[in-house]
Amino acid sequence: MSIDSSGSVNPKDLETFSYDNVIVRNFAWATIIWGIVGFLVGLIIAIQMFVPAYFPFLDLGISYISFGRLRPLHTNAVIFAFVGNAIFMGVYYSLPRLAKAPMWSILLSKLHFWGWQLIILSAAITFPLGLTQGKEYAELIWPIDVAVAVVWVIFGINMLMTLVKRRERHMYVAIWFYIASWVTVAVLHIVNSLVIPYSILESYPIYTGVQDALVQWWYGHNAVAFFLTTPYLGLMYYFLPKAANRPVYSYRLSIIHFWSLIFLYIWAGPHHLLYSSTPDWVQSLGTVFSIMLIAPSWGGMINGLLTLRGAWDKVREDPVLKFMVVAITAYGMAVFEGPMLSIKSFNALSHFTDWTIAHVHVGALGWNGMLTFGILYWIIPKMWKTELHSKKLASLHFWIAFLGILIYAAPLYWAGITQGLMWKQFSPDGFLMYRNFLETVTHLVPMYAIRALGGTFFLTGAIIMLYNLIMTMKRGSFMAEETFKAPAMASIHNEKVNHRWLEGKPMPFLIASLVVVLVGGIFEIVPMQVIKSNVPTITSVKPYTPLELHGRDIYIREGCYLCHSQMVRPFRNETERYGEYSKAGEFVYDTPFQWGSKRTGPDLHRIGGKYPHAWHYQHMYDPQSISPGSIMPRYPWLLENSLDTSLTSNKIRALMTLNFPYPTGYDNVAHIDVRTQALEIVEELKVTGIETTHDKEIIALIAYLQRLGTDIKGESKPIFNKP
Amino acid sequence: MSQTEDKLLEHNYDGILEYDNPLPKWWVWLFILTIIWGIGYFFYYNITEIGPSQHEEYIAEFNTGSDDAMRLIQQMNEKWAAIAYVPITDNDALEQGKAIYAVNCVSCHGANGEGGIGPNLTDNHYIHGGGIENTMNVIINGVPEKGMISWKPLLTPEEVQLVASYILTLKGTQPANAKAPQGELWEQ
Repeated sequence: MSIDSSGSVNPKDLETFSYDNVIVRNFAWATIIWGIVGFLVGLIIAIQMFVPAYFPFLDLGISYISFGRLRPLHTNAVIFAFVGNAIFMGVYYSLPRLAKAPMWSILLSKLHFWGWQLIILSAAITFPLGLTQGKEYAELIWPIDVAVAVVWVIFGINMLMTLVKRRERHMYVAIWFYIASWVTVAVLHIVNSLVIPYSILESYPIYTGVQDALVQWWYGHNAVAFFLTTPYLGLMYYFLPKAANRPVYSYRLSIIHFWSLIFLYIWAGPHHLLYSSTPDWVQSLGTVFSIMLIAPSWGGMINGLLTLRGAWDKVREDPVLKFMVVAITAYGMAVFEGPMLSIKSFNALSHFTDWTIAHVHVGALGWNGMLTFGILYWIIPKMWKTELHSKKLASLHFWIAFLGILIYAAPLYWAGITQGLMWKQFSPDGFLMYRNFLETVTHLVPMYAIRALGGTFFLTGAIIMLYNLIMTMKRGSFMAEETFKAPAMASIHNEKVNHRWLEGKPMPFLIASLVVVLVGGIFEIVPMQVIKSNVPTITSVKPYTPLELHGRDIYIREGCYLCHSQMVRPFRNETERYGEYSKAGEFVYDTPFQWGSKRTGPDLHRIGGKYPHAWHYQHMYDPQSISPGSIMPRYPWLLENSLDTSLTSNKIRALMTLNFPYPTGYDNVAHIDVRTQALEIVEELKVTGIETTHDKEIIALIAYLQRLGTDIKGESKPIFNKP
Repeated sequence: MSQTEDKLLEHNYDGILEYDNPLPKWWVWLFILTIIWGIGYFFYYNITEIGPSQHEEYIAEFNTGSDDAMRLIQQMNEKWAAIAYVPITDNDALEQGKAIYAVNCVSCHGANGEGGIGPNLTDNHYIHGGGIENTMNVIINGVPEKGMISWKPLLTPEEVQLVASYILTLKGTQPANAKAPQGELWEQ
C-alpha cells in the first residue's frame, strides 16, 4: 500500500474494498479456450493450403469448411477472441489494483463477458455459413457489429467509472494505454462498419472503391495498432514489472512514447495500399508515418527490456519472464520490420506474398501469444494462491512455442521472397520467366507444409499450458475476492497543469487521446471523401448488372479476396502478366472493395473475358482438371446451389441510396435482367457441351468474373432494363 | 545508463515503482532522424514532385534497367514481323512443341487434342481454318469472343511455330473421348 503525499495515513481513514477475481478467471478461461480454437483453425487452413497438391482426395468440397470461409474464422478468433479476452483478463485484473477500487459494476462486467463470448460464438456460426462483409478483420455481419459496439461501450463505461471512483490519485501508464485503446477502437469500429443493410443479416458498406480501401486499411492497420499492440503494451507495463519485481525503467520515456505512438500510428494505414490505385500522396503518408513510428514503437520495447536490468538471472529461471522477454523481442522485431515493409521498394517485392503472413505471425504468435502465456502463468497461481504446477512443463511450452514460431516464420519468409522474385523475373528475350502464375505457386507448397508443422508446435505448446494450468488450479484454492485497504483519494489543490495533472483526470485524458488519434484520420480520410480529383472519373465504368452483383456477393461469401487480389500494380511485370494496371476510377461501384492483400492465386482484376465461360465452369468444379498442380480448393456446390434472387431488388435499392446510377425504378425490374443475362451464359455453355440451368450460383459468379476489369476497355455496356 | 543514475520517483502503483531515467540519447536521435527523413520524403515526392510518381516510375521501367525493356520489345516486334508460317517436321522440334502444348493447351483442348472447353484438334473440321498459317494466327491473336486467348504475350514466335506444328501432327489421330467436329470441313 502506498503512502499518500500528504504523509502517513491514520488507520481509521482506511477504506476496505475487494477485487473481483471471478471475472478475471472467466476471461482467462475464455482466453485459453478460444486461443486453442483459433490456433487449431489456423492449423486447419494451413493444411488446406497443401492438401490439393499432396492429398487431393482430402478436398471434400464442403462449403462450410472451405479455406475462404475458415480463414476469417481463424483471424477473428485469434484477434478478437484470443487476444480480446486476454486484454479483458489483464484489464480486469490490473485496473482495479492500479486504481485501488473494485470494478465499478459487477453486472456490467458480467454483461461484458457474456456479451463478448456470444459475439465470438455468433462469429463461429456465421463465418462457416458464408455470412461475411468481405473486409479483412471486419468480416462480422452488421448485426454482430452492432453487438460489438454495445459490448465495447459497456466495457468503456465500466472502465471509466472505475477510474472515476478510484482511490489512487494518478493513473499509471498501463491505464493510459487502456484508455487510448478503448476510445480508438470505438472510433475505428464504428466508422469502418457504417453500412446500408439490405437484409437482416447482410449489407453493403457506405464507401466504395478507393474510399472503402482507405477506410478499411485505416481500420485494419489500427486494429493491429490499437487491439494487438497498445492494450498489450498496457498489459506489459503492469505484468512485467510485477513479475520481475523491478521498477519501470523510465517514466519520461513512457510519456513520450505513449503520445507519439498513438498520434503516429493512426496515419500509417495506407502502407497497406502501396502501389495501389490510391493517390500517391496518401501512399507517401503511409510510408512516412510508418518510418516515424520506429522510435515510438521501440520506446515500449526499451522500457520493457531495460526494466529487466538486474533481473536477467531471474529470466533464466522464471518461465513467466522468459515468455515476456521473447514477446517484447518479437514486438521489437515486428515493429521494425513493419516500417521496412512500408518502404515502397521493399513493398514492391513483399506485398501480396507470404512475407506478410510471416510478418503478422511474428507479431501475433510472438508478441501477443507469448505475452499472453506469460501473463497466464503468472496470474493463475496468484489467483489460486499457489505455485505453478510445473515449471518444467512451462519451460517445455516456452521452447516448443519458440521453436514453433521459427518453424512457422522461416519457410514463409523464404516463400515470400522466392515468389516475389519469381513474379518479377524476365527472361533475356523480354518475356516473363514464369509466365504461368502456377509455376510460382508449386515451388512454395513444401514451405506451406513446413509452416503447418510450426503451427502444430505452437498449438501443442498451448495444450501443454492448458494441462499445467488446470493442475495448478487443482492444487490451489481460488480466491473469488481479494480484500484491500486504502485511504480515499486525497484532493490536491493548486496542482500545476502538466502531464502529472492529466494523469489525475480520466475524462480529459480520454478526450486528449481521442483528439490525438482523430487528427491523422481526418487528414487522410476526409480529403479522399471530399476532393473529387483523388479519383479521376472513367466514363465507361458502369455499375454491375444485378446478376453480376449476385455473383460478386458469392465471390465475397466464398472469401475469394483472401487468395486473389484485384489490383494490378503499375509494374512492367504485372501489366505483362495481367494487363493494364488498375485505375482508381474503375472501382467507384465496388462496395465493398475487393483489392485483397494476398496472392495465393493470381490477380483477378483483368480476368474478365480472358477465358470462356466453360473454363470458369470447369475450373470452379475442379481447378486441378484445368490447372494441374493448382492448390485452389474445389467449389462443387456452386454448380448445384440455386441462386437466391429474393433480395435482388433490396440490393439494387441499397446501392441506389449510394447514388449508383441505375435507372429510376430499376429495383422493380432488375430480376428480369438477372434471368436474361443468365440465360445468355447458359446458352454459351451449351455450345461447349455443358448443360446447366440459369438459376445456378455458378452462372452469377461467371457473369461477375467475366465483367471484372473490362469497363475500362469501353466494350461492355450493360443495358439496364427500363421499368 | 549505469545503475547509479537511476532515481526512483515517488510513484507507487500496486507496488510498481518508476525510475526517473532520461530518454536514451540514441533513441531521441533515431526519432528526430526519422521525422526529418519523413518530412524530406514527402517534400521530395509529393510537395515539390521532384521524385517520380508511381506512374512515372512505371513508364521509366520500360526505358531503363539492365534488360532494357524497350529494346527487347522492339526486338520481339521484329521477330513477330519476320515470323515464318512453315510447319516444322523435325522430331526433336516436335517434341518441344508437344511440351509447350502440355503446359499451355491441355486444359482446354485435352491431353491428346480431343477437345474439351476448346474444339477438337484432331478432326478435319476447323472454325477458323486449318493449315499452319491459320493455326498460328489463331494462337497468336486468339479468338477472344470464343474464349481463346491471345498467346502473343506468353509465347515466343518460335514457340508458336513449334506448338502449331505439333498440333498439325494430331490430325487424324482419333483420340478417346473426342469432341464432335465443329466448323467447316477443311481440305488443302
